[in-house]
Amino acid sequence: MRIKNTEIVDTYAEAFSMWSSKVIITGENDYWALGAARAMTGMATSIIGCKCEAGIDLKLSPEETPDGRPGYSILVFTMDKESLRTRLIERIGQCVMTCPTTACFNGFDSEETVNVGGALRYFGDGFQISKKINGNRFWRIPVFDGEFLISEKFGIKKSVGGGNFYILGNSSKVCLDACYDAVKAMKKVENIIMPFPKGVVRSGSKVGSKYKALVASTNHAYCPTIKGFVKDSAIPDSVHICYEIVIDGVDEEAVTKAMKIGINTAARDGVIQITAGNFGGKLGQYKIYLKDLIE
Amino acid sequence: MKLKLHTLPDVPLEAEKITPAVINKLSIKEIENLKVFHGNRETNLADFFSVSKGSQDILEVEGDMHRIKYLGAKMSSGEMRINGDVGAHLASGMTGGHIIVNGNASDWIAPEMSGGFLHITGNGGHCIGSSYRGSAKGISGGEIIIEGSVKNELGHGMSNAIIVIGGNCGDFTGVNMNSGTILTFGEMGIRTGAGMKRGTIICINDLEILPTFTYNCEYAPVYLKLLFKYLKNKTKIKVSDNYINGFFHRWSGDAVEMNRGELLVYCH
Repeated sequence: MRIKNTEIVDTYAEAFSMWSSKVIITGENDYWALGAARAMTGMATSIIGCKCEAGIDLKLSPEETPDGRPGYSILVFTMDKESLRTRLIERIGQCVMTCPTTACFNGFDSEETVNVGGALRYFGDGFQISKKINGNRFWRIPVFDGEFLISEKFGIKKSVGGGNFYILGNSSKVCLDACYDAVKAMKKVENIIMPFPKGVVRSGSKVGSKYKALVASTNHAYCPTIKGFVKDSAIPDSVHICYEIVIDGVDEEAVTKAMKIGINTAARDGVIQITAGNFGGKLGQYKIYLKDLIE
Repeated sequence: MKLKLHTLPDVPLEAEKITPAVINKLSIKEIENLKVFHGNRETNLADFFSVSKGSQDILEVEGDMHRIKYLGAKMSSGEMRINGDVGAHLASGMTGGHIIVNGNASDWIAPEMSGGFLHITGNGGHCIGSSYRGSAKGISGGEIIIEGSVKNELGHGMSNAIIVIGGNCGDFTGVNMNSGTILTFGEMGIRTGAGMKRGTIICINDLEILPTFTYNCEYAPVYLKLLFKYLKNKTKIKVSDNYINGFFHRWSGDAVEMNRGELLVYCH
């Protein structure tokens, strides 16, 4: 299978069932809203070491936010519901409540919810005020510049994490350009995030390690510097560099749509092969076949 | 269904059966035979109203009903549209649903309301959303939007609900308020928020503030941006961008009670 001159390997990305929540952060202007959004999604690249995966989904215009101010929608993913609540309380409490002028709203219309504002309200030390608008409860917590306003409950949804594809190139420039273009195109898809730095991973991992203490280690099959002597290297001869793009989404449809756009954008001269990471179908609940993504 | 008043009652008619839940499941004949009290005498609804097929989901009521009490009483769901003035106790004990009145309303509107949405395009009387005499608690939920002006004791002892008044308010607005929000766009009478424990009274115009309230600061509450945007989308009340983007003086009171209530007064 090929897109342009790029080989598309007949394989699948193995994705996992996760829980997600959407958080709308607004601020007096884009400077403060973005500041809070970046802080809240910082150090949230992988469940393995960060306890959650988070990223900015979309930039929102004042017309699109509950309070008519500029904002960002954030997606946060965890493996279970209870830890999602904990991560939201930690991150909103430390990164949004602390940021000047910001407010924080539930972004999911979902039956299942976790109580976040209802926990953070205790920071108000008894001076907090609750308000209900259109059936939704909000908390006003007194802070140095006025009040921090937050939704009491945040909707959560069963979601999909770990959609992925690998870009294998014959040069650093081609491979980085392919990643840059793919991520830029995929960012237009709603309800997905690419949690790694600028959406790209260079340290793709495999399950387990020769060291018993580690649950994951470098996916040596895609490391070019050792392909000469590693028996199970998966890198073709003409390939000198490899990157991975990981996608978490609110549902399988969103992840698939983003992967399709990404793969078709990345394919070009110099990108020798595009493939995907999986665990033989033994770990993940979702299989996204690359053959179904070719336009 | 559609009900049209054909005979103005001499004394108040207690029509608590005129709600979507009761009317919409009956035939025209059954509706005409519904019993209502005209003063202290039981009579048929048909003696005052003509009944016809109307919209399937909406109950429409039409006529000068300033002597018809308890319209929409204990309403829990559905939609009711009233064209004309309405009498006292409209939406009494309402728990859900939607009532729109294209006209004026009398006194004691929505007593003991705990949910639902009431929208009056004209003016209202005294004690709207108030507790009954002898009761410490007024309405405990829902939303009341009145585009015109109201008289005294708006939201007496209210909790949790939102009341929005497009015009002026009389005296003792939010007296003994427990919680909830009153937003007023017109002039205020005297003793606003007297005895309030918690809750918020937002005033666009300057008002005489009781000496038992203390001044805190001038700020731009994000909560109000949310509320104003919600009202802009849901009602026809004109909300100026000046209010949405503006600053408000915050006063705390009433010190004779818990001192946890607030007056937010727009900074002109």
